[in-house]
Amino acid sequence: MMTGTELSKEERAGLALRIEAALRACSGVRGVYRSGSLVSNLLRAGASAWGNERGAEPIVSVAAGAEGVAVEAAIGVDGRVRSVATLRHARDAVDAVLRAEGLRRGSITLTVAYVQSAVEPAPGERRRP
Amino acid sequence: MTDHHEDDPLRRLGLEPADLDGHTIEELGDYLDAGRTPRIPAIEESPGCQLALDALERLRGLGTALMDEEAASAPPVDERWVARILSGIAMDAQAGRRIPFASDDPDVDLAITEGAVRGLVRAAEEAVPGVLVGRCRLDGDVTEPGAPVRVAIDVSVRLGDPLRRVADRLRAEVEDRLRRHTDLRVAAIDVAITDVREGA
Repeated sequence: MMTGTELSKEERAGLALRIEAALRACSGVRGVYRSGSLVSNLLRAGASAWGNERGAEPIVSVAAGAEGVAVEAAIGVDGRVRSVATLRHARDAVDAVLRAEGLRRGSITLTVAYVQSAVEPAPGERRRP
Repeated sequence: MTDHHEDDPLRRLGLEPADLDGHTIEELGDYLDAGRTPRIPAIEESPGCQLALDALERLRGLGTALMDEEAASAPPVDERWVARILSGIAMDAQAGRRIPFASDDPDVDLAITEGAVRGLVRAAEEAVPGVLVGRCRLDGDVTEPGAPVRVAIDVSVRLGDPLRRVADRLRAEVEDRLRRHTDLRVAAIDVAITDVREGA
């Protein structure tokens, strides 16, 4: 059983993936983006260009410390729904994952990085001629 | 002295490569041409790219209409406003400041990026026919809850459209979107019509 303050790199990565999945399944969430600095994102993009897809790093940031687990994520949201409502759903989803794993929440930092237009084409479909 | 970056189209738009997570405007244009297939995760997972793709797509839709106008022997299009719009798109791709939402839990920090908000404002052009948003600025301390913020928008409109009515419609649309997606205390929305164009 994990204590909530000690997580191995593999445990953090697994937890990050489960949180990402929970966020993607969340009502109003249309995408999960990389949190972190532009520099680190650029480095990941470079790694991806060299064949290392997604830089082999989780999109969601998870850190474990004395205060518990700190989670940081950036999301895209449905423009028809109030952003703060979607953020609160997302917060609840993260809390649920932490609770299910017996982990103490240290902090949750969620940021809307993109608001999707109300009318969005399916992948592969053009919105306009 | 010559700036060795001046030939870089990305920088001409006031955009650094990091703003599009290493991609270029040209790559995004090609990606749109291909109908966003095959899916490129690095683009689809970048909010800056998504903001730029949305705006480029709207601009591209207008470009088609403009070409139709030209084919019908309309006067040549002034391309300066297109450059201004591209410059605005470039600015939107930058995440900018983090705009907080009120939270009753000190361990939970919820926010929206300034770039996402600028994208929202720009997308309001969809609701007002003939309007194209060039630049959008949020003036004021958006990081401080409750601080007054002024929104300044430069727009291009069609020749012959009623200017005041168009500005009022855009202002109302922007106000609605900001109320729906932010906690900003919007003191004013200043719409400046900086271009009047013939055609589409």
